[in-house]
Amino acid sequence: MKRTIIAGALAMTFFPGVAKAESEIHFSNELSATHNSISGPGKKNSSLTGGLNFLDTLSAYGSGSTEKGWEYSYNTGIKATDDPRMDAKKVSLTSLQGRLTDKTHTLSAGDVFESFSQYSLASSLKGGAYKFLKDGSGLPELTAVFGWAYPRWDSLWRDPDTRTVKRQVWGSRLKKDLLTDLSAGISMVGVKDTDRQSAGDSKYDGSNLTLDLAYDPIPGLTITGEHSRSDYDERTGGTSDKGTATRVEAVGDTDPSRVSMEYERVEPDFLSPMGSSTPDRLKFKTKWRYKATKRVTVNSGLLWYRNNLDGQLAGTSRFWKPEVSVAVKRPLAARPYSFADLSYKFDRKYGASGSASDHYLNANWRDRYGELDHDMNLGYTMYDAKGVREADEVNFNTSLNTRLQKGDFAWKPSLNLGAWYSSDELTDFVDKVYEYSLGLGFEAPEKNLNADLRFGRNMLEKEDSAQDDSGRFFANLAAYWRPAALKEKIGDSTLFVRAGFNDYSFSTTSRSFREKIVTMGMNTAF
Amino acid sequence: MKKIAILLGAVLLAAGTAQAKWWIFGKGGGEVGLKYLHVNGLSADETGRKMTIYRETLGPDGLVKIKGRAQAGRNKVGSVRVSIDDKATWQDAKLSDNGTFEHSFRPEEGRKYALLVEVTDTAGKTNKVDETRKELEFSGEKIQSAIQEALDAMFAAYSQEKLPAFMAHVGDDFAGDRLLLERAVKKDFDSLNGINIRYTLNNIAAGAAGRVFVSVTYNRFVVSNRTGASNTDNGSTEFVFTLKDGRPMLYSMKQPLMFGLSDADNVATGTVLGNSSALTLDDGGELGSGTVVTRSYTSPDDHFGYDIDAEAFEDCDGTSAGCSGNFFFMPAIPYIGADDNPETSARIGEIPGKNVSTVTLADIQAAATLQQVNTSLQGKTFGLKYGSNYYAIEVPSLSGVSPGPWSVTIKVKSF
Repeated sequence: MKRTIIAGALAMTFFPGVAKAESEIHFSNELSATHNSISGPGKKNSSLTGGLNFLDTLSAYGSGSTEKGWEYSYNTGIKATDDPRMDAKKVSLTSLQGRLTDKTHTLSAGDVFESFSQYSLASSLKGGAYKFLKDGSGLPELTAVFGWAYPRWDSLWRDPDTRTVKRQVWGSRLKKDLLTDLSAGISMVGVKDTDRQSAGDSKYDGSNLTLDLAYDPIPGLTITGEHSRSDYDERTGGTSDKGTATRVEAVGDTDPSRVSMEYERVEPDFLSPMGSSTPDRLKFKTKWRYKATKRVTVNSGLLWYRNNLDGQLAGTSRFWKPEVSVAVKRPLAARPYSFADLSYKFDRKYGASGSASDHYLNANWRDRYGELDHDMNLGYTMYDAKGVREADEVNFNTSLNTRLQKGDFAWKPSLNLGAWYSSDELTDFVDKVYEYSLGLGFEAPEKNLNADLRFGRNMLEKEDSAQDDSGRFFANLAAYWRPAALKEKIGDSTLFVRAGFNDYSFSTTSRSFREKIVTMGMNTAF
Repeated sequence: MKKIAILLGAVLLAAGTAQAKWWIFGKGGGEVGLKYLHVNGLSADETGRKMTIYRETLGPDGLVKIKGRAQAGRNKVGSVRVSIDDKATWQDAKLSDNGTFEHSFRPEEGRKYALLVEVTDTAGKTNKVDETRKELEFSGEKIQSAIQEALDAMFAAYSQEKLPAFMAHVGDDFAGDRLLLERAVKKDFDSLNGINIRYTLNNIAAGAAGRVFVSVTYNRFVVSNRTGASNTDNGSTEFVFTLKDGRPMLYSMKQPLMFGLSDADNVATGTVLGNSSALTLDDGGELGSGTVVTRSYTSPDDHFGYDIDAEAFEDCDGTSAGCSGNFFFMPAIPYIGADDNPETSARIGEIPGKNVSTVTLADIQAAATLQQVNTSLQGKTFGLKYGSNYYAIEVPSLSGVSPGPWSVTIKVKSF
């Protein structure tokens, strides 16, 4: 009853004038206190904030419908902490979003994330959006959005600690099914930057016009494509440019094969402040997964790309990256749970950014011995970039773990071992890393209790006496308990305690330091 | 006649063979079945047998929408029925003349559904219903919890340098190219040791097409395998995830990067607004901390200044109007001063126990309250407020005697 009253009050606040029919609201809150103790001559190198700190995250979400057939939903979240490394602000809004719809018209406000397409709009805004979609009418789907591209809410009200460039964004998109198997979308996104924070900040004023297509000509084959044109002014540097980006991808997927091919061309002057793209790149990529038999799968792929599409750079860099791998289930008939994977990757770079030929060889073996699961990996890497990085490296790691059920309790011991060896031909030194860790997990489902203890050591040995060896000993304990009594009184709750110890040691002892961390907290949902 | 029969037989054989082999990726078009099936906009071909649906990814009306297209070879599609309780009950889907159909239902929190679709043509032939089976679970858990679990798993796998476990959370459609990210993370592991990253969520927004935007504040500590040096940095960054089978998969990242530092230009497809710091790894595996600028200078006399924007020292008295620097040194006294001519609000202060990599904005705001700090300068770190801008200044070395020359090296980081 109490929740219904709160839900109704919030609904009337967000959507005044809307008559409440039925609604629900849920809350969740996590409060924790952490004590960090940092000691040692090199304690200024720690990434922790010393002393006692707290962190609280509260979120609420609700939904409902009105008597006039409108559906609404909303969510909001707040974070509070006194640890500046957790957040620059003591109290901040982590989310604020509301939606109202009658299934044809949809209004959103707050955090809006209308991802039109990769090049045009692929980032969240603080603002509002409207969508029109009438199923079965044949009319196109229309989306319009307006807001500010702030990474957090504090920036919207110009909080001095989280101020950024003010980027105002507007956009609209039309999407229509042209045929039963072909849909197309056209979108326009504009940005305008103001309020530069420092003299070097760029300020953009521009737009992107984008066309995207999706086509399923036959079952198992999908073709998607996108073409975008940008036109922008950059007012700090006083430049203006136009550019285009094009991407086409075809994926064919029917056993025994899955094949994908991708072509992309992004001009150097293409800019999409709200999309995702890497400028000055011509790329071709293909991948083939072939299930040769029920037990054997072969994967192969090739990526090729280059830059300097407009010839304005001093030289062009080209890259080839082929790879092949074979995965075999039950390679040994007598080992029913065995699995082996062998892969080879090659990176070739040449041109203006230098020359390199790197080889990566990796072998993986997994098996089960009774109740013991085993995973082992052996890798060899040869870096060959003349004068930059010439090294032979070997890495090995293996892990053993199992689960022991004793009545109502389960124990999960584990062991991890690893080593890394690098022979650097430029410096003529050999460096090594060794690591080991032991773990013990505990579960008591009847008591709603689980815990995990892990400790281990990691050591870096440098042959060059002018450089420091380093080591880290660590121990972590985490325990979680969901007492039934709390659930009856306040809601589904979890009590937790986490403790950690890190001992960083260096050859230069003035750099060494230790960290002790203890966290206690409670998570509640109601 | 015999020739015609042989020719006809050859044509029929070729037609049947062609249909079976003409395209290794495509299925034959003559059987009764589904051409495609989408659940809440996600293609059934791309998701596995199980799919988790989160509250935030439902349509605005709170319904799970099943859409598809049925086919019946030479016949017409007669009916399409949908079951969400493992064939216990069936409901007719809304069917169009061209075979497209749709069906919606309102899910209950925590409940699992077994979805099956039955297509019947006008001759009464049906599809292989069991092949359409998909298990749907509607999770009342907020997507924020799922995102946090995914981030925890990614950070743990990266800190433990487990490449397969890390890549298991990266989508095939990763915007910066999945193959490049995998190579870059492998190089990160060869270059770094003792990786320790902590984070908290700043902002999370679930949107259209199952995409989720996430902004985090992070703290990072790493040791370089190449030099044995350690580095810490902190800041905020952004991720976008897409949901596949209900699991969040990494779609894109922005600078400052958390993962794939060895190929930042290709892995990151944008830069967070207002962020000034970024840890980098160069082609040789050397660690850098982005915008920390290191400069050395030999001054002929007792006073010299530094211009942060120009990244240059100048041999002048910072108190004079003609000196354009942001702060200045008088090592003979000794002191370091904020240049308040013409920026009268310029202030400076010492930040004990920190270096330029571990200083936070809050440290600078708390420390920068004086016009000058009278103290020896070697090995110390200072915070400078200049107008609305904040800077950390570290003096790793300073030597010389009055009246000069003095040799100084400084590191400056913008916030």
